[in-house]
Amino acid sequence: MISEQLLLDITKCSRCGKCTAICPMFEKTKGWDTGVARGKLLVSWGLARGELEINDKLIEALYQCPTCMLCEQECTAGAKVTEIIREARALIVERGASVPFSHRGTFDTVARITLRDGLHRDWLDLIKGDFRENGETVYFPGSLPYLEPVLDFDLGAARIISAAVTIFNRAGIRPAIITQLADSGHDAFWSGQYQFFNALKEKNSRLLAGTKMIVTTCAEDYSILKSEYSLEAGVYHISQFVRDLIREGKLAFSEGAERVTFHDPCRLGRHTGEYDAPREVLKTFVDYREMARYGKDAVCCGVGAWMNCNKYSKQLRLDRVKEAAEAADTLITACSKCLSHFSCLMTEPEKVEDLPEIKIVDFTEFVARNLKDT
Amino acid sequence: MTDFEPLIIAFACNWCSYAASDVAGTSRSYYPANVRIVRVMCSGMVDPTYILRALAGGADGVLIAGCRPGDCHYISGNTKAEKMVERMKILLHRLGLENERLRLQWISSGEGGLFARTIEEMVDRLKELGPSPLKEGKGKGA
Ligand code: SF4
Ligand code: SF4
Ligand code: FES
Repeated sequence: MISEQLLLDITKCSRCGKCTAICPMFEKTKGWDTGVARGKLLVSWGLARGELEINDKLIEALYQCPTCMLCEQECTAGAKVTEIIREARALIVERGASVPFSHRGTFDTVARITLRDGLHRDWLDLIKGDFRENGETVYFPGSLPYLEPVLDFDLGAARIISAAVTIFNRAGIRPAIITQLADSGHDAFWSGQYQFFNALKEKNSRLLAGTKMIVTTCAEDYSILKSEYSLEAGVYHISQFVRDLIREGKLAFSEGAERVTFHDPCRLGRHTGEYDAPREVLKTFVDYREMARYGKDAVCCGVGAWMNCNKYSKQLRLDRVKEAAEAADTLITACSKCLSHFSCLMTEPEKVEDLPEIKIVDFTEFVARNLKDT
Repeated sequence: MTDFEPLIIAFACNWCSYAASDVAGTSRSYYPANVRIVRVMCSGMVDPTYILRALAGGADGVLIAGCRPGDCHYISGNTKAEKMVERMKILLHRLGLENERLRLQWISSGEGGLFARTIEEMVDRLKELGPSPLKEGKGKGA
């Protein structure tokens, strides 16, 4: 249901057109207004009021948006664009249409399987380092172990998870890794599958009851655990955790001359407001450079919640890596999903015209790799 | 668990294994009735999601059957399928499902006997493994 408040929000839109100038997706699709916030708002209105029927065009209008929030922060009417789009998606789901996921919905099915009890999930052998299977300080790798086999390239799940454990160990902590945890539900939530999301949330909340601290390495997981769960435990993104450890003097790095830049994942930046932590960390040991568009103006990697990978989002990604290559030799991202989307682009150099040379590295892995032996 | 009859979903390539299943049928070779065959144009078009949905939907095992190496009508569809199945076996293991529930078998069009034998072997093994933990009523959730 789109609430009265959100419907009112839609009426506030004066059709000023600011979003049409800002939206990176619209810049690529160069299509109708349904490709940008102000049109999507009207479509949502029509859907909520029963004036529009669900068809492929409507589904495309509401799902071809990574909900990056770039337009929302500049909207002259202050419309909650992404929330309205999400609620409209929930109406679509409620009325029985299926979500147009990329990868034919494989990750959605994986998430459904993680909801089942009684499976002996088996991937702890991926991890190098000292961890336990229960405890108050939890490391939440999310769907990382399950993403990799579906994708056709090396995502580095074992390296990233081990890197996180190494960081904990340096701080003298043996983190708990709970394989029975289900998918965080980020994609279920943003695709409008609220019932499914609530089931995931309920299961995870039960398993996380009594814990004190939860650290994630994926920005999508972080944003959802932080904003949509009500956990007693503090939820941290690994960049915040590492920043705090550095401030407490618990981590030391070998300095490098490498030029490094950081891609702000929408979920870490605009969705949860953390821009500084990853920068503060990286600046302590590398030659840190900023891309042309960064922080709150950073452009999305093009895909949100595995929903809209297409030729337009690929162009967005290409623009972004080119921008990164102008600034640095290595692009760091702090989200398992951004990492997947960027890495995917880089795996097919023969298929992409003017693909720049740049290394794409996960934040957690990069940090652990540069830790000084003590 | 003697009365357990496993359900197998077989994705069979139109050009070879599907024809083989026909041969098995017309030559009246016996094979257990536990299999539901889905004809695909090439083993290379079987997507990870087909396997996962079959299992999540209650299948106890999934068979992917394609042309022998070198015989794929689309040149490399079967090698693509082979790599995909390897990755999916890793995924199933990580998710907590026995990866023997997934099997890849090359069966060329005349090999009706091999088709029948493959199904028999799978049924036997699945009976030992028991019902898929994702089956309705086992565990809860979607
Ligand atoms: S920026 Fe906001 S007010 Fe302006 S057209 Fe877009 S949604 Fe409407
Ligand atoms: S959220 Fe991002 S992609 Fe969606 S309409 Fe706004 S700027 Fe465009
Ligand atoms: S045509 Fe039979 S496997 Fe490709």
